[in-house]
Amino acid sequence: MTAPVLRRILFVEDDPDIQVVAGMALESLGGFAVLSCGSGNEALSRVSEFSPDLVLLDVMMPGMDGPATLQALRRQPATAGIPVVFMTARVQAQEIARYRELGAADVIAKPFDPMTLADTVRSIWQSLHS
Amino acid sequence: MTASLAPEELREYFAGRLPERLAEIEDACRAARDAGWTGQPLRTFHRLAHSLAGSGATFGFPEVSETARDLEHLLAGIMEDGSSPGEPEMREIEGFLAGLRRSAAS
Repeated sequence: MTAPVLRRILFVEDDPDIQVVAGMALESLGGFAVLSCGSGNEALSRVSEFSPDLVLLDVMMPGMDGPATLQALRRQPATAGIPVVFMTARVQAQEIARYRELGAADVIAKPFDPMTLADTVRSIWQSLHS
Repeated sequence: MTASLAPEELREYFAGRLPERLAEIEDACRAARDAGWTGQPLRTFHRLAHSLAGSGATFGFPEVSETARDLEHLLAGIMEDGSSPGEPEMREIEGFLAGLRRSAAS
């Protein structure tokens, strides 16, 4: 059985400049359909309508942070199974372990290279389905 | 909005954004100081430094990421400590902000 294709990414990030560059990288280089949300609350209100294959989630955001957003996604049956990948500048080993314990599929470090972001996300997707 | 992902376009885009981002961080520093280095104003200052640390190098400004990361770590220590920064820490904070101003001006 072939692995499902990654097409739709929900990108949750409060930094407007990162939204711009990552959105461009994922859409133009990755060919993904991307919905960018500026907060955890916005993501929760739009996730069902967008129906992403994967959620790319910033960790440190005002209000509802990344871990709280992940836990809220896990509580809803419709979104509980969507893989979530954190993006964060906090990539110490103990923090990565904590994110995985919370249910993150993987962690992408910031700052990131916009030219390779789409490939990184695609590799993570493929490893989840191998 | 950057026109493309070409490094020189990303640098130009971010160079245009840096003054506003720096002003935001400096406002957050003043608010944190006015709030006695506690509560949400301090957390906001820390979060903005963290955000800049995570974005500078993406746009071709590694020195911005490094300086912002140093500032972030200093502020994390202040948050953990629960007390106001002393003279040496205040000089460090001003030094990091001066470094970011230089990057914004270059």
